Amino acid sequence: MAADTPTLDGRTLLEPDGSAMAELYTRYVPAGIRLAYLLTGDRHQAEDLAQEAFVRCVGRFQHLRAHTAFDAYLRRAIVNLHTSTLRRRRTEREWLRREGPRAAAAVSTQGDVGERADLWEALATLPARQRAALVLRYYEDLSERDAAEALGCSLAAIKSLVARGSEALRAQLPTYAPEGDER
Amino acid sequence: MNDLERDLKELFERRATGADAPGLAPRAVLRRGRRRQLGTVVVGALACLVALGVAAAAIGQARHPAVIPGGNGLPVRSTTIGGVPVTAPAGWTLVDDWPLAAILPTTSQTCSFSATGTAVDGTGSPVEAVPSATPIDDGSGESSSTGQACSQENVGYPAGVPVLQLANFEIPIMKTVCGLGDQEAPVSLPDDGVAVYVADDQAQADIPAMLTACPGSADARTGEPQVFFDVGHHTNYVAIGVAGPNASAADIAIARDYLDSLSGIEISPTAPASAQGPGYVLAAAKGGDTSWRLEAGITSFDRHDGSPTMGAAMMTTDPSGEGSRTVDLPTDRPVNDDYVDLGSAGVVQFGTASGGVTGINIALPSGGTVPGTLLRWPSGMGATSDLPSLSGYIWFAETPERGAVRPTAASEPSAEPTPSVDERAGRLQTTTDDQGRYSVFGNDFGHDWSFHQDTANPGELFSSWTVLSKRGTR
Repeated sequence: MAADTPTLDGRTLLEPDGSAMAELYTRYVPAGIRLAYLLTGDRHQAEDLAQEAFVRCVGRFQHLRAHTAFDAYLRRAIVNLHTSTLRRRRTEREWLRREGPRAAAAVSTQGDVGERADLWEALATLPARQRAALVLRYYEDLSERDAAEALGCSLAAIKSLVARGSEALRAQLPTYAPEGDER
Repeated sequence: MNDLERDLKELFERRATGADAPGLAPRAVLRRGRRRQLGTVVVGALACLVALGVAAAAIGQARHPAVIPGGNGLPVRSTTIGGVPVTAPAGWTLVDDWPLAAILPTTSQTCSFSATGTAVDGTGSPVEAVPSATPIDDGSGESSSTGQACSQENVGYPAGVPVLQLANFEIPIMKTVCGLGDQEAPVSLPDDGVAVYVADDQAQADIPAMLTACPGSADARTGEPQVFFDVGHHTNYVAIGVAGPNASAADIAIARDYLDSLSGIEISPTAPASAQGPGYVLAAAKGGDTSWRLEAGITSFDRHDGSPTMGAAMMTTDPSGEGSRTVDLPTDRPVNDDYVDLGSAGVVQFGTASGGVTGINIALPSGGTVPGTLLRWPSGMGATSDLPSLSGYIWFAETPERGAVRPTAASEPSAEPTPSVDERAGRLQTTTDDQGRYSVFGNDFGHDWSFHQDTANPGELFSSWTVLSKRGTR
């Protein structure tokens, strides 16, 4: 997501014509949709997730004047919504875990992308928080501390989530198995 | 960065690029954002209003606490005590002394006998040989086969047995403005004190003796004593007014009016409560056919030594007769409670509360709460040396149905716990008169007794004993 500092010309989100809110959407929501897509693997679900997170953020920051932190708040809202949504849909997650790569392929709306299709499918089998940790670290390029902040967990927890996520991917994909490990 | 991390990064970039979304904000999303903003503003404003309301209520409660201060803070109370009607003006003390009629001794029996004994020191070792003595023959002809000589006489109360006292000052519990004969001297009348003393005069009909027994009654500023009877004229009652030298005209007028209201009436007396002692009437009302009054006072006497237990007493009168329920002081929890059912008129819940309680609410089963009224214990209850310090409250609430008692801001009970029966049992009081003679006093099963050293036969340790018999319930 963009890290620049929006000004919105000093307008607040309570402008009667709603122009400030529309501009805020244009600046930050597309990046939010991309993040949500990497988390969910589903384009439509990603749009819904990002828009819901945007609505919640603007509702809470009605007098926002300094927008520097908006992207961070939006990112955290998307991640939280994603994990809580999946928590509510425990049954669905269990189903995804059982079906494995086949399920991941089914929910994907994009075709396979080169030789990384197996990696994408393997990602779909990870628990939501492990996948989110990997996305925040390797797509958002967040430090471990910022990733922990976005995921609402401790530094140790984010390290553990990344390590366990990577280990799970290596377990599914022999290509990435460490040397000497012939599993 | 290892292979997996590098491939993940590439994969994420590629996939994210393919997921680019249109940059324009959908109208629906903007509308939802707008509504969310307004909702946040409204919720915030409501939260502020609620906070302001709570703060205002708290300030209002602090300014107008549900606690009515003792003494002159009491409201007007109308009730009948022992069948005698009385209305206590606001701020006046009304004492229900009628239970005294059931516990005051009416006869005194003195018996003489002889005995031998050996004086012992603190370790139980004999210190002095005492010669044998023989039974006394006092010539009264009342000696028994056991060698005792007994005589019985009535215990006199020149001012009668008190029914109630109405005063503009707080009369200590168990004491009266006219005294109890040899048992208890009259309380000191304050300079501005005014009181009306109503008593069953035990058919003495000796008004001059009563006036003599009641300091402050001689100048008749409060009016002439009033004599009245029960319906069958079996019992006569006397009401006497007393006033201190600096009593106000207004207070004297109140006493005079009450005395006048008793002129010529005929009452239907009720039996005194047999198990409890006097109490201060702190609240009174009528619900349906039942009149009730809440008293703070002595709820029971110890069976062994007669020491009093303090608490709340709810006295009720209905067509079937009188009843009472008592609640002791809380010792291990903030509140003790009980209730009386007034039928269709609802319920009166009452009880005692420790000093840490700041309010009491009754949560009704049908919903809603009714605040209770907390009253401080009258200071006169602490006037008797055996009584514990009373730091808490007596309380009551009139409710449409019996609810759960919910004390607020409760803390650990701060009232001194009442000494247990075991702690009080076995206490004996001894006195020595100016000639060095010993007397031992005690109380068992409600009877006072005493032993006195015989003066005629110094070798006999204790040669007479006296028992004060309880007056029976009439």
